[in-house]
Amino acid sequence: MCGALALGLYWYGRNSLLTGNPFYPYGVNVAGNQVEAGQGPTFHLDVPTLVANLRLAWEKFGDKQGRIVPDLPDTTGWGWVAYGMGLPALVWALLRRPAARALALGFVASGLTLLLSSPTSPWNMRYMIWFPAVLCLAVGMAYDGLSGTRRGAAKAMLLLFAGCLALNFSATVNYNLVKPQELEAMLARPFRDRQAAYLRVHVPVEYENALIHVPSEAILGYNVHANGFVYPLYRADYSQRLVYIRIVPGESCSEIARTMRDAGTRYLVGAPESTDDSVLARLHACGEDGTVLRELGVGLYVLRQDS
Amino acid sequence: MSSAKIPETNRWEAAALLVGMAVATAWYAWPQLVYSLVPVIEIWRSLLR
Repeated sequence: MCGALALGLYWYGRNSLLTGNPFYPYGVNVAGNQVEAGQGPTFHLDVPTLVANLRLAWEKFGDKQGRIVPDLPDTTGWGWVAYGMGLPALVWALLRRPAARALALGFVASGLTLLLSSPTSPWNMRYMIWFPAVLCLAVGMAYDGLSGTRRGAAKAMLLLFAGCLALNFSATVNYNLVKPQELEAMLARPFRDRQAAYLRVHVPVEYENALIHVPSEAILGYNVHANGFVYPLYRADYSQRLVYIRIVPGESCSEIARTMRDAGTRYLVGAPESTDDSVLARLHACGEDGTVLRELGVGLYVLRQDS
Repeated sequence: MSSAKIPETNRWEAAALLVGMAVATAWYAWPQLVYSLVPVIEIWRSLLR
């Protein structure tokens, strides 16, 4: 407990000293430009947020609302071992192992603090993904309790554990997101050309265009907002070099072109949901105008050779 | 200093624990059993075709 406090307090204290806010991270800078602003110096802990978060957590408890997908919109995602074995094991451990009570209390206190301070959102279970560790620890305690004198029961428990573990693993093989035909098509490609963008799972078609039209040895410019992502643009073999192109509101097409030239790239990609709508509208207008930029494919722009 | 004695787990307690785990696993199985197995079956069918 003291070790955990010492480790945690260091970071909270550091954030608090440097930003005035112990709970939030810094802004994110890429190539000298801030792509994600740091949080403000204020934070609030309030009971209505806790209640709303607890209600959401309860609705997701048991993973009954749907399939488990990576960002956990409908489920807790804790899996077979935690629910199937962990819940009864925790009840047993709370009754039979006094040490487990303090441990469980620590987890509950940490969970409540997190739900008190985390903004309510459908994806808030991602932050609670550590919680089932207490259930797994209880499974370990239960096994210890059986393995000395109840060998048969311990073996049965091991068998159940193996089954639950296999089912947990099988759920992670595909996450029900990619169609088998698409996986098959991906496996038919050379190893170094298995691009995540081709699967189009949460990846915009603009990124696929970039992979098709931009040579892998060229530098590719991109513009995304704070919640955008670019990982598919690196390509499966990480051969593509990327550079962030900063575009401020109201900038002219010539100014955007100059920023691109200064960054050493002829190409610029942006996509809905990852790039600000105002930036996309500006790039589209530049492409229509065609003086310095032309649209090579949807969302992909290239500097004119003669500009 | 002696370590704290851990109470032994008796037969009924062990049985209750296992039955509890079986019940909880069965409770969790729907609908996650379908979600856990379908992708694996689909992928194997696809690969074996």
